[in-house]
Amino acid sequence: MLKGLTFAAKAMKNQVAHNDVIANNLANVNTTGFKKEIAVLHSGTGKDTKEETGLFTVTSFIEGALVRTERPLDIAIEGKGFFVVDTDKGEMYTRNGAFAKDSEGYLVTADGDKVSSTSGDIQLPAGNIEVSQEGVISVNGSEVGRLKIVRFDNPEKLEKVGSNLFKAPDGITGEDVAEDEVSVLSGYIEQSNVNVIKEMTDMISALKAYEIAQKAVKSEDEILQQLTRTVGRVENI
Amino acid sequence: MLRALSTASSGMSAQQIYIDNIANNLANVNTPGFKKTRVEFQDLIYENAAPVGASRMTGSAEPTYSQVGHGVRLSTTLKVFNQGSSMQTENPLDMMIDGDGFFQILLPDGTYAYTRDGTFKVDSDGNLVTSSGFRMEPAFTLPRETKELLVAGDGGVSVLLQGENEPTQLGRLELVRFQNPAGLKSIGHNLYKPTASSGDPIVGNPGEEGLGTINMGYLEMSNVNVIEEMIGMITAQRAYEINSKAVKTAEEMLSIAASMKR
Repeated sequence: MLKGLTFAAKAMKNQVAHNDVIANNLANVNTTGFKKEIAVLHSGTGKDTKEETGLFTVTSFIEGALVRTERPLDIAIEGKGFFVVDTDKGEMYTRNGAFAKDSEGYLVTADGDKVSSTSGDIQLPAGNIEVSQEGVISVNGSEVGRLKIVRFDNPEKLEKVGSNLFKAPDGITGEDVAEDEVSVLSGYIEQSNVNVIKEMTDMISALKAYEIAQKAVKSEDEILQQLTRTVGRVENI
Repeated sequence: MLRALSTASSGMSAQQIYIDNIANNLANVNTPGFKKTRVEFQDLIYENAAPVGASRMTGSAEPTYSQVGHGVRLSTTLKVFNQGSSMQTENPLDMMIDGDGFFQILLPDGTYAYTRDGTFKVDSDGNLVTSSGFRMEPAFTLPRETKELLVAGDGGVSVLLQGENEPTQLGRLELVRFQNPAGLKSIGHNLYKPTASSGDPIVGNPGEEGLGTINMGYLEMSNVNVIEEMIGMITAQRAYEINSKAVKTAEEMLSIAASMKR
């Protein structure tokens, strides 16, 4: 059949995937610490229908806006870095610092997974909680521990696993951030970094590209129709 | 059909929960002792569309994950126990806890509940009760000849009887704190019940072990901040609208696909 038909169909599939990525970004426009996915369309050379063309995504680690909540256990990282969370599936990383205490006083995420300090879990006694700019948590003035914050050379390599968590693939480890290189803010949360205007315009272009690709399928179809109807037919002169 | 449809609908329902929660906070903007709730969202699992294939596409050896998400879900509702603003009422039965802690209330079924609402009343037997008629624990019974009730900052309760100059001690008020107050369950009537995540109640006296002191003649008002909630409402409404556009786009895509066949 026609090569163009395959290309146009692929283009439609790619735009569907593009729109899926946009829809997920928009659904998470109010998710604390969410990092958007950017869809990248890889164009083929057009010479070979078996060529790998398609869409892949890159996570954007641009910082979201910080919003004041006045809750001491809402902690935001200014600049690069991740909080370290100890889950039953191993060590995970997050930018969502809306933490809480569990029934035993451990600092946990919304899912109840323990947040790591530079020396194990963090257990907070009752009292007035303060978090310094270096990430040191103190209760009633006495130091309890320092939040472990790690940085990655290429955070794009981290895998998203949902629940605002990132997983490091095998062989990639984060680098502990030293006290003087980090700035955390207590009483703030980091909003989603989804830019609604960008996503809406992307959505329009995805839809239009999809529509155009569909037109291409249609015209290929018409060409085929012409072919089957007219080629080989002897015209009466 | 299209994944974007279900993704966007998860976004719409999340924003709806956001609005529901704001409505409840705003409805309780004048409820004494009310603590606002915040909703937190999480992204859903991701499908690794091409876990390693991206390297073939980019032509480099660097693996990039090609991840397509499935939307959003409610992760938790977080009770925020910041102190509410105080209001002077000059009613001696109104009490405000300045700091951490809850009043202990005995429910008719024999279990305990906890509250920050200090609008106490006296029932026909002279017992100190909440507005809903539940007794305070430890129980205080005011004698019939009571002229004046006095509650000290440390929780000492005494009464001035008619014809007497010296107040009579009735006992000391107890407060309760929790390891994780955010884990308490609201049961209405401004009352909370402990859960596995809040931990067991720790009883103590006002002004001791991190517990707050009692201010008589004052009420702790709701800690809902109207401006904050209104901003949240705008955010939620717009996010809802935008997600509905994503549904519409997905729908248009489907209709374009359907129109391909002649």
